[in-house]
Amino acid sequence: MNRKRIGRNFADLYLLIVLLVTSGGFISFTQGVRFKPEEIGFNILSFFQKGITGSVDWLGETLNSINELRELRIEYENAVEQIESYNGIERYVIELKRENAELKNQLEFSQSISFENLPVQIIARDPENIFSGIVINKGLKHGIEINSPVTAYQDNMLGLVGKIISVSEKTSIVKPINDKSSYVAVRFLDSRYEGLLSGLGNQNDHLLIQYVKKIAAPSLNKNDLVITSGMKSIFPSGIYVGRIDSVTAREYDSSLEIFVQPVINFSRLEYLIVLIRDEDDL
Amino acid sequence: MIKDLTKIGVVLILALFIQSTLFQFIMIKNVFPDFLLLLFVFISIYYGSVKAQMSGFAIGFCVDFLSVSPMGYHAFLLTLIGFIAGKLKGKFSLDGIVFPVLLSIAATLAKRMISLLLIYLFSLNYSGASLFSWNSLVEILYNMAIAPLVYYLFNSLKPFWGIQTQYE
Repeated sequence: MNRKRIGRNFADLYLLIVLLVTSGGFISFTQGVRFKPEEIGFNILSFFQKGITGSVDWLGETLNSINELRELRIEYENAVEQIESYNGIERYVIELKRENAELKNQLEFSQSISFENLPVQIIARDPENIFSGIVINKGLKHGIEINSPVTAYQDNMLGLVGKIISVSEKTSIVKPINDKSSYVAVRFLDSRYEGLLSGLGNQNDHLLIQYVKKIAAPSLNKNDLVITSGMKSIFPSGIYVGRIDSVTAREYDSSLEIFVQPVINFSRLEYLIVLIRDEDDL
Repeated sequence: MIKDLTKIGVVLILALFIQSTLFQFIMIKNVFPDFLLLLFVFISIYYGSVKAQMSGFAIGFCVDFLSVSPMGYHAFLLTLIGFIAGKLKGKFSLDGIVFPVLLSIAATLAKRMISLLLIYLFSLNYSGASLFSWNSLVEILYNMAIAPLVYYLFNSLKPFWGIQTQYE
């Protein structure tokens, strides 16, 4: 009787141990290996994420359409007045021409990239603040593969965002370069020195470049641009990564520690461009 | 048991989808409130440690599927938080504001401490699990701000949970 009660009292503790050991085993096991159940789970759950984002987009577009309809009606009434008063239809044509020119301009961004590329939309972020994954709305079906480089246009610059680490049929997960486990081979645009860039976590505004020899210090200046080197890397060369913010030379270290301000503001990202890799490029 | 776990699972999955898809629009300095964690803590206190652990383990794996974290990371985290929160069942009565806010601080700090422990134990090279940082502070403040709302939401789902709450 007494033993039974003690057993019941400790039942939740036994359960805790079993569950913690199981989840701990998963962490250890999946550290080096991409585990299939994760992809299956991602496939299923990201489907719903896509659904929610799609519904919100639809609602937003519907509301926008109503607004646009209202605005269109006002514009129409104005146009009628204008036509009646001074035959102002030409102005409308000029406005259309301007819009057309703007759209062409935007289209050229995508066309100017020398790699085959795929514009994608962010449908979800990592559910946990500690991590920085980004879920996008395209996957295997659209030609995205694991390790495909991901970029974005911000302030008229094509900047490196990260790489694909998990792909399902219609969605993928991007690991950004500011993640602590991201590494990118980089080069300084002016001085041509090379180094290895790593993230400092999504809670830090900077990236860190290491393994740059101390002799490079005099030729590195604040705001110098950093680009991908393309050396034995999954990232093609020449993509902008950031600008030098500070250079530290420690006495006991043979290489420099360079902090870089990324060209991409990761909290402002909405649309991304996935570069579809050609085997010949690698 | 299965009925309760199903209910908890459905609510937490919904919270997970809302958090991962819609909360990106209310981010401050890359941080959004941890709605899922707060809801999970209230549920855990309500249902006790056994159901909390089991649901935490399951929902943790769902979070892992959608995250860049290693598999099992969130399962471990939420199982442990569920166990601790579940042990508080019946220990005190919750009011509408003060206790939810205090619980939100404790839960956020516990989450960050367990994350640090996991990173240390498994030598993980992952982002942002700091205890004393601006982002940590922003997350705590954000969670404090939404805690009464989440508690209100949790309470308004009483008919769904199907049990007379002991908090009243």
